[in-house]
Amino acid sequence: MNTKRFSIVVSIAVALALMGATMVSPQAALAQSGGGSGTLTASGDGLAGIRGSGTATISGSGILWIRDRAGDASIQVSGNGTKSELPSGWIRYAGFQGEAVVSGSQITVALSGYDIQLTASGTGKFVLRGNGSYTVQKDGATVVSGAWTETAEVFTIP
Amino acid sequence: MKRWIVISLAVFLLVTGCARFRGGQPEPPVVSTVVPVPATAETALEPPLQPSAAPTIAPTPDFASMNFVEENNLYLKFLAERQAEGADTSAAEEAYARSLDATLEGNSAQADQYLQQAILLLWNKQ
Repeated sequence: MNTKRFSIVVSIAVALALMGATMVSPQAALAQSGGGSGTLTASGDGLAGIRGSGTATISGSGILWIRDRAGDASIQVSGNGTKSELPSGWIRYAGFQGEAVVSGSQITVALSGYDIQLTASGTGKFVLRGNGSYTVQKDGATVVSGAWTETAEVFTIP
Repeated sequence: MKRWIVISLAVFLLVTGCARFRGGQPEPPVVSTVVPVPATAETALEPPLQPSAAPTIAPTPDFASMNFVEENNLYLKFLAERQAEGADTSAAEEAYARSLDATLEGNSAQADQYLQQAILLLWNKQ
């Protein structure tokens, strides 16, 4: 009986510890502050998002999201998709299949779906969640490369 | 001889009586007269069985066994299906937008919570 109770207590403790770890780790990723400049190239399935200043070219299938916080963005979208503007400021293309080129000083561009190809140059942060790979180049040299992550991790373009 | 016949008859009647009393010996005529009554009783009995027979607790997606891409694809699939059916998907899409915001802030736990909420909102419309 005591052993059973002990097992239950240990199980609850482990579950709480796991929940805590899950909630704390993203904040650690978010703690990476500041921005850099370089060129990010990524491809994969899942969700690719970037926000900052510069130009982003993204293609694939799924749902395209664009937000222009400064109001100075140049947005060019080609392909298929149903456009709608949300109260939160997002411009969304549902059933998107095509390419978007977005430039601005405070832009956010994201594509949720598959066959995603993203190229972004400038300063800012990015999230690549799912299955895929990415490379960041600066001054003609590869400075960072890696795989998309299962959790939402925010990286800074160095 | 006569006594044996009487005893045998008494034993037979006793055994038959006991069997009938226990219900072990069904009486066809009685059953046949009862059968028409359950015909209406059957329909009356069916509704109470429905809650347990047809579970109102619909199975939900097993999120614990899915990775992010699988959950995301499930959302995209359900969204396309519900929109094709002409259903109102605005609540699910708002939840997904919140999931996207949380993702861009690096908050996986909240992003997953909103994504699963979006999926369930679509799931419940099927």
